[in-house]
Amino acid sequence: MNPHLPMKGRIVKCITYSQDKKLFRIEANIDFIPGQFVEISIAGVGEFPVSICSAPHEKNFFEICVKKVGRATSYLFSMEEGAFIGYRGPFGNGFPIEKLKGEDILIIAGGIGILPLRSFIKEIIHEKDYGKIKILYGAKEPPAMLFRDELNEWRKKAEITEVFERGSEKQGLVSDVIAEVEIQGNEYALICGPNAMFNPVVKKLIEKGIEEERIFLSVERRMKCGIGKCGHCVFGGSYYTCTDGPVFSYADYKHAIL
Amino acid sequence: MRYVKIKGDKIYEFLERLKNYGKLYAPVKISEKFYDRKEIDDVGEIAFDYQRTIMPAKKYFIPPCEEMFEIDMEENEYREKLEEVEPFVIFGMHACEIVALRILDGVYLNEYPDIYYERRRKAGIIIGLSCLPDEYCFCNLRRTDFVDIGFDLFLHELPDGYLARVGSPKGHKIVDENPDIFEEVRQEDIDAFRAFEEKRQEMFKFKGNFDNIRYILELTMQDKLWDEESEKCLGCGNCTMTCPTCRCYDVQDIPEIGGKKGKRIRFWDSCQFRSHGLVAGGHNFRETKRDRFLNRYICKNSYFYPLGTSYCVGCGNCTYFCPANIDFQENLMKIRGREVIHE
Repeated sequence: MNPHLPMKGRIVKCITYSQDKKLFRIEANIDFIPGQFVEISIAGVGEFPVSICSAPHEKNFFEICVKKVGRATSYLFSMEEGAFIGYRGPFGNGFPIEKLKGEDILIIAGGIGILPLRSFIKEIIHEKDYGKIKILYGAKEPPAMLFRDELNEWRKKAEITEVFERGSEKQGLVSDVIAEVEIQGNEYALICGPNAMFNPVVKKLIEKGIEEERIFLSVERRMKCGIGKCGHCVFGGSYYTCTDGPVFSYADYKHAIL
Repeated sequence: MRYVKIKGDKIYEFLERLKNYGKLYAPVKISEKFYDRKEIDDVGEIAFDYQRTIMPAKKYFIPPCEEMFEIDMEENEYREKLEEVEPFVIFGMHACEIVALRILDGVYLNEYPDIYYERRRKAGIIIGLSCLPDEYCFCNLRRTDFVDIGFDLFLHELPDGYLARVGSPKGHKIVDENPDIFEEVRQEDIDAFRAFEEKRQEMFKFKGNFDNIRYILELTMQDKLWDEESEKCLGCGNCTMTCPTCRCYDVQDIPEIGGKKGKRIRFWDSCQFRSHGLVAGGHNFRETKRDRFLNRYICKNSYFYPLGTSYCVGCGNCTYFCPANIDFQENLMKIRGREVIHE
């Protein structure tokens, strides 16, 4: 089996969320862990990595949500149900699911950082053997918030705090509202969002008493091959984001140089 | 280990015989200053006293550019296109390059084995050759100046021929099938081998080792040396292209005119290029030249755990081929606090 070879998958469902964000359901049989990613190929155009945003218990398909930013994602954006794409994966470590069972969990997402976390949230709703779940979810403005139609479903299991940079009563960044959330200190925190969000968020969590080993970040790099070879996602001298990550504990992440 | 001797007058016959085992590649002098490896027809062309080739031997295992798949754009399908790999022999690999290949093995044959590399690796026969260092070499500091596995035969220069170490079943086969080429090693050969190794050790510019360099480097990343040195860098990528362990590659889909077919290719990439850390949307994970410059230093000096060596094997290629005269070894010496005196 050649790990470079894309498998062929059919798009069976599309949801357009905004001018530049669209969800695709791909018919495929893959086993994965929330937090893992796939490499999507558009034949003749190119390949890009993207987090799986559906849950593992949803069989026979996986979902990705793509922001139209480059050539390949723009091309995908124009595709509709019935079209075929290529996929490789799943790759990466994913969230430490076994460690998280039975624990209270704090989920912190900024913008499209919600994508890998949605996979985990859907899994929590399905699995039930987790403790208290709290979600802090920030976006630029209310219309830009992905999966708003699903928040009520998530609320059945989780307490959600929304925050927007503009266009809402509650204006600010995710790190600004941490103070409002009741945090015991024994929670596990899962964070995904823009790089600039990590440090201010983590700082507040540590102040609230959460240990660094309990804080997990889903990190973005240029993960070209997905299998620890091509070198683009290397950081800290010896970490490959694609195989050692993309989920790192803050304790590991903060000491990694570069 | 099995040791045999090739008498001096038999060496060209030996090289001729190697062609029975596959296409023969060896270093030849291509200009006044440079050597490169190429396919050999006339064994008389082969250079024995070369220091370094323009392209490292990795080119036979990961070509600078190769086709991975045929693309059927109408069907949205990628199709495997694996051509038969003919057996080949690389003659004259130095110890550092053989260690470098083992490092590449660790990357390319990990839990996701790279089928392209693997097939070529199985088809290749490696014949090592002893060498004497020039001022660019620091394999001794990297502990890669002597290699004990990773070759089929390794030839050590003697005054009247070569002492050959046999390193694999393929190596034994070559020796067994050509009894007229090889003879037993005598006491004077052992003495000469020892003398050669002694002389070789004496010739290295610096003594000691670079075992601690990774940590010193990490601790001195804010040093102004890196501002000055990265400022000199042209970002050409020569250092990584000529590095025997640099392995970054990029992948692209190339459609044919007509838009129905295409191919997916991969080609050598360099962390010194601005595009290396650039993602769609414009964010660059290694934005500045300093980031990219240090990325190479950190990468090369970090440890490759399966072998217990650093990713750098001390061949000196990056310095030798740098058009901006940036001296890798000297920079590492400087951050280690050693004054570098030029003769």
